[in-house]
Amino acid sequence: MNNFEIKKQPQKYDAIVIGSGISGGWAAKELCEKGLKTLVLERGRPIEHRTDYITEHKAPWDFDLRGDLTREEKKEYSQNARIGYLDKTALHFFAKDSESPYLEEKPFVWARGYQVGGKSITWGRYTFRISEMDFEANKMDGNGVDWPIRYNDIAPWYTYVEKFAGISGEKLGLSHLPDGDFQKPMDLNVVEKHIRKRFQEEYNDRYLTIARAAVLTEQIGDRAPCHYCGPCWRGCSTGSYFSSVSSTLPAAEATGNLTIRPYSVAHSIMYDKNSGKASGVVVIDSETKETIEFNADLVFVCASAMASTQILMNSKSDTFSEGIGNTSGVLGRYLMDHHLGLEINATMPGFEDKTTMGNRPVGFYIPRYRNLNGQEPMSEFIRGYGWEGSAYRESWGKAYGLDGFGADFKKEVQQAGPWQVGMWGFGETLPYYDNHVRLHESETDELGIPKLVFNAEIKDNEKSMRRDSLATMAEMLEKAGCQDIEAIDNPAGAVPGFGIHEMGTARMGRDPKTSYLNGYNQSHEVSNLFVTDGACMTSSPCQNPSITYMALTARAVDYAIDQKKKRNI
Amino acid sequence: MDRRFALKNLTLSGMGLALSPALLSALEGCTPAYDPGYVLQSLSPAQDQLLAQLVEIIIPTTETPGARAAGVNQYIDRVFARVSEPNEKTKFLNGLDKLSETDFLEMNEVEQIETLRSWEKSSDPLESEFFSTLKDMTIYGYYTSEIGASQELKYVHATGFYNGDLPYDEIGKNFY
Repeated sequence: MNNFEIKKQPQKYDAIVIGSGISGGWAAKELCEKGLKTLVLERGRPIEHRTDYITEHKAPWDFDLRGDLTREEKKEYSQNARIGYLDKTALHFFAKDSESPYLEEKPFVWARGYQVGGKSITWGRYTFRISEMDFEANKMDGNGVDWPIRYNDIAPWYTYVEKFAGISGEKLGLSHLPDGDFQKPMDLNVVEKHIRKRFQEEYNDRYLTIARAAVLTEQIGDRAPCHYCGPCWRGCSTGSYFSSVSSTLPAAEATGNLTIRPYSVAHSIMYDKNSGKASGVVVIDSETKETIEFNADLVFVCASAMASTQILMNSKSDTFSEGIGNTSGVLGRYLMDHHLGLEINATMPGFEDKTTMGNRPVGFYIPRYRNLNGQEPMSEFIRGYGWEGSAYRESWGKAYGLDGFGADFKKEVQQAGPWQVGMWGFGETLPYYDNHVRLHESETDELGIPKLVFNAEIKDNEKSMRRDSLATMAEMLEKAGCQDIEAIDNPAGAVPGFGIHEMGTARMGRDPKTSYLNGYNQSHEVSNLFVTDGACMTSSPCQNPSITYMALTARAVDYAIDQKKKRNI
Repeated sequence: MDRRFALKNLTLSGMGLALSPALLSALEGCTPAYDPGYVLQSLSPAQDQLLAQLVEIIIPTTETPGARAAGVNQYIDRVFARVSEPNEKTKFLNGLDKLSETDFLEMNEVEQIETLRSWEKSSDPLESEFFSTLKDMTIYGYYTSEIGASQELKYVHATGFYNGDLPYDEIGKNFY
């Protein structure tokens, strides 16, 4: 992409999109394809598809420290290093905490991707629809506010984005994990198939399936099926997984309507009191430190959940002293993330004449099996959790657990160990008013933007859910024939932000007094302002959420353009 | 090189993979093994010489090259220079120095192995912790080296397929 805007007296655009990650990329594609001259503001650096995947296909020995971070790098990433898997192979796609400070009133890991494509380059790629049960949950149990939409409102949009993104997976016919428009699934391995079969024999409500993922098994345009090299998060030259850089931004660019401006930090959204609309975005060029105003008819905020809310809060005017569209004061509240750190490790005896070949970038998924419609509700907790995992032959990591050294030791390490099963759970977090972000009163970053203060934690419902999840999964694996089952509640993984599924803080709802957005991701108060990333979420169903942001974004653009035609915006 | 072969196969099989300049240079940029021209970053030449013998005892040359040929002592030198905290480095060097006082390099191989075994089981934390750090770093350094990953173990890069039900004997050993 070479059409970067460098003019200081820019034209007026039809639309501005803040952010170029999963949501921003979709907003850009949909707006451009519908003929709107669209400016995408990206605070980070430009990324060229293929060329800038500098660690792709490198072997471990190509890294002189074999992926370890240096002392200096650990300091630069002092808060994010807690994620645990941050290493040299993808470090360049994560923002430095030292350059992008935030404050933890309570512990919070804020992972950010400051580049064109945002976190869509490094995301986990799992894509599960949320269901009618999820959309009804707040209303049924009285937590949070009712979602202003139901499954049928979003279902056609799921199909629309799935066809373009390319989702491989298996249809299961479950109402709580609706099927989509899938490419052929990747294969489960022999032990995973065995566990699946044992679950089917033992339970009528528990399934193991290959995870539905935005990784191709069939060609789409110039995007090739997966070649099974493994570490998608380094970038993929064949475009085999969905990212903004491989998929939506090229489609947007092909229309001739797209301008991407990197190094453009959105400071605030301008509000025009006379028209009652957003008039554009104030940008600080992070290279020149210039402040530039860009004007547009429509503003889509897709900066990632927490950053979007930060920008909205920082958009203060006579009309909106607490942030644009925030008369309700709800902005920043009801922060959610999936709680992780539910870890299971087990051994599966047998199958020792079998192994696998190829680095499959997708594991298995065990959909939620608690508090489903038709089941007796749990007394200990509401909502539920799902599990991800994989089965594999124990490899050279066994060396750490073996006594001794020398030739016999080496020989033993060379032979595969038993089959192991590794799993990690994702739990839903309820929307709590207390869990919030806010702007710090005085501390700013080097560009003068107030730092974000995080104050969120899991509470009793999540803690009860954690106990149940570990106990039930240990029992299920035992019934499946596993041994040496370790079920660990790792509190580090329950720190909000660790899931990198931040949701809420500008939630959708029916009532402008208790929600920020309506059912079309449109600000209740500012009609040409839309927020379509994770900030919009009214609850946090345990499914990986990105496909929902894609669908909501495409739906919101469709609505915005319709309203614009009708001159309602 | 396996990876080049795999990538070549990919393009030939019509995967549409464009080999970008960055990708090509990545393929040329390997530092696979012991480097005779290596400049020490944290250890003295004497410490390096001792360490090279220690890692070789932990993972010796058998049908495949061992940890010394894989340059594991040089990897450990880099880790102490750039990754470890200063106190971790000091602790390790204390162990190394204590071992060198035993004239370790003058011993025959059986004596060297005996000495390391006694350190492994030692009630003196300096000795047992030194051994455990040495062993862990040797394991990681060796099995992530080109020799360890692709000669001792089986290294596959981009197979273009996943087989989840392969007879173990067709590979006969661990994958990296």
